[in-house]
Amino acid sequence: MNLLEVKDLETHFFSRAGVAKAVDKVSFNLEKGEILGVVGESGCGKSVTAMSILQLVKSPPGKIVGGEVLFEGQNLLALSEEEIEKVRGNRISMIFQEPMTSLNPLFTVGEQIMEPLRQHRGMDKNAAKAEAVKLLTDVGIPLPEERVDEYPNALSGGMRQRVMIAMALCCRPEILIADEPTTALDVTIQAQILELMKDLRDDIGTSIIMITHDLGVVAELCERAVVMYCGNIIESGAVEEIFKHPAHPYTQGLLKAIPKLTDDSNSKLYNIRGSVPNLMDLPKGCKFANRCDCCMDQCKTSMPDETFVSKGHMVRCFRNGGCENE
Amino acid sequence: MKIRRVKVTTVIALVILVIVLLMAICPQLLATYEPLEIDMQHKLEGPSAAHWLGTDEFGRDLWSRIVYGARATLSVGFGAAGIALLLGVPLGLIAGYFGKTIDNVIMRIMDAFQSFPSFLLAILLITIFAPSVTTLIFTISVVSFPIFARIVRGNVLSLKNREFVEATRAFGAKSPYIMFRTILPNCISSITVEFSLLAATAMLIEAGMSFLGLGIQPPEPAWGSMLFYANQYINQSITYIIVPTVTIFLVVLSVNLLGDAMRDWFDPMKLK
Repeated sequence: MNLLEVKDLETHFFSRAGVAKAVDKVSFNLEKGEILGVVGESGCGKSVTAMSILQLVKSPPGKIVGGEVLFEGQNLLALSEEEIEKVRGNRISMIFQEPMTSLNPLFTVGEQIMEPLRQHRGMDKNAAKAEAVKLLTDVGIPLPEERVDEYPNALSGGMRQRVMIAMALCCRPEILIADEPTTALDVTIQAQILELMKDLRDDIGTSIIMITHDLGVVAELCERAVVMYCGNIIESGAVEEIFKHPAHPYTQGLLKAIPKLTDDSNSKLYNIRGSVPNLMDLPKGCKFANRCDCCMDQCKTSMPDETFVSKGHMVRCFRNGGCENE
Repeated sequence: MKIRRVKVTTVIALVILVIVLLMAICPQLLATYEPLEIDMQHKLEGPSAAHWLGTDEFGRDLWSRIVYGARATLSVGFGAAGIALLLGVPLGLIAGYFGKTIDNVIMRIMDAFQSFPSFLLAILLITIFAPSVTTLIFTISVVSFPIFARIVRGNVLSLKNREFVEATRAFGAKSPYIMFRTILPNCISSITVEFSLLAATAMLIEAGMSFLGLGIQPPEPAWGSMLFYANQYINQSITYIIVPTVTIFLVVLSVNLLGDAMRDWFDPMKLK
């Protein structure tokens, strides 16, 4: 049973220079208790996809122009502002990339955690405070009784991200959307935060959508992954499958670009040539065609459809995974 | 423990303002004479044991007139700044937060208000509504509330795209909550500074208006009008003009210093 079903989601940004199709007919599913990775480079539409789910895209310039987001069968995109406010933070929560700026500098950590508790769960002040201390304990913050009265500037980045997670989890949401939660943190803290998210999934059964550009994070945390490029999902499937048998030349390129300990230190690191096309002026065919090593004539004229190379492993490439040059 | 360091200048400013506030609330406690008591034998005298700050052209005690004049000046200063704040802050908040047409409509109205030369508009309004403390408060707040609207709007525009505002929305907060509890507290420092600047400016406008004869009317004591009359006797008594000048200077300076101190006070980053 799918908890969340995103169908043909389209979010465009309108500006004087033209229309940028940041999310172009994106479809994916999320099962209960699953951790799904959404991978792609900056500007490929990962974050906009996540924001669209909760109707958080700023309008103007952004607008969700098509598609459905079915959450337990209910289309979130059809909800009014008032109805979606009851979902946000309550049943679907989100944490952001920059823990340093995601907390209001003028209120204590406790006050900020108490707010959603009071709004969504109708707790009174004392109950909310007790719950806030408990949540801080759950996310592994030492001395929670003292930290609860601290202002965010007294906490480190890792601590603040834990506070954000505590806030996001305070109503035991069915889905947690994490938008690059560890990008701004150093590697040891990153590992702790990922471990924490995994534990929380196991404890309260929250499904997680993990948005990242770090394939290491995906490998460590996720069960399934979708790879995005220029607003499209170009490959999706079980993480193991994607890492072992990447079918799309872009995914293959990304994996090849990770330096390995066994590499000859004098050899040049691999990179995908060219750069991402301008979203306002996309090529007609496959958007990756101009950077692809095994581009064919038809790639330049039409976008390939979804094909399955194995069970549950989808790719949008005319080569169907048959591009293993070099 | 959280201890905040307080600067010496802040303490001095606070002491001056407390004294002036006392003058405004209970002048009879501090004054040594009746402010209107005429004594032609001792006119235009310098400071002495009997008259601490000297006397004016009618032999009235300057210290007592300063004490009794505080109420008018303070009411105008804080009254005008307060009303301007109450009008301007919500308008700026609404304009900045909702943007688009609402923003355009509100800010064009503010433009219209600000396009008048404020001193001339003040003179016009005072001529229509007879000079008094109330008219001065009303006039000064009318010419200055767009400043608040503009400052708050600017703050809101930059704040509403900050991550913590986005995060608050992602946790299900409603628009009024985001406006008043998330964004507004982050504007407090600019508002405090602007309030203190405006209170000081309002006192100066009051002095200016009284100086022009459009403010507080004689014989009621007011610092600005004292300045006006002292001007005519500048050759006979130098203390007469120095006393109101220095008083206005000290109070305006104290208000500004205190505004700065309050801004630091509201900033949790300064917690030691």
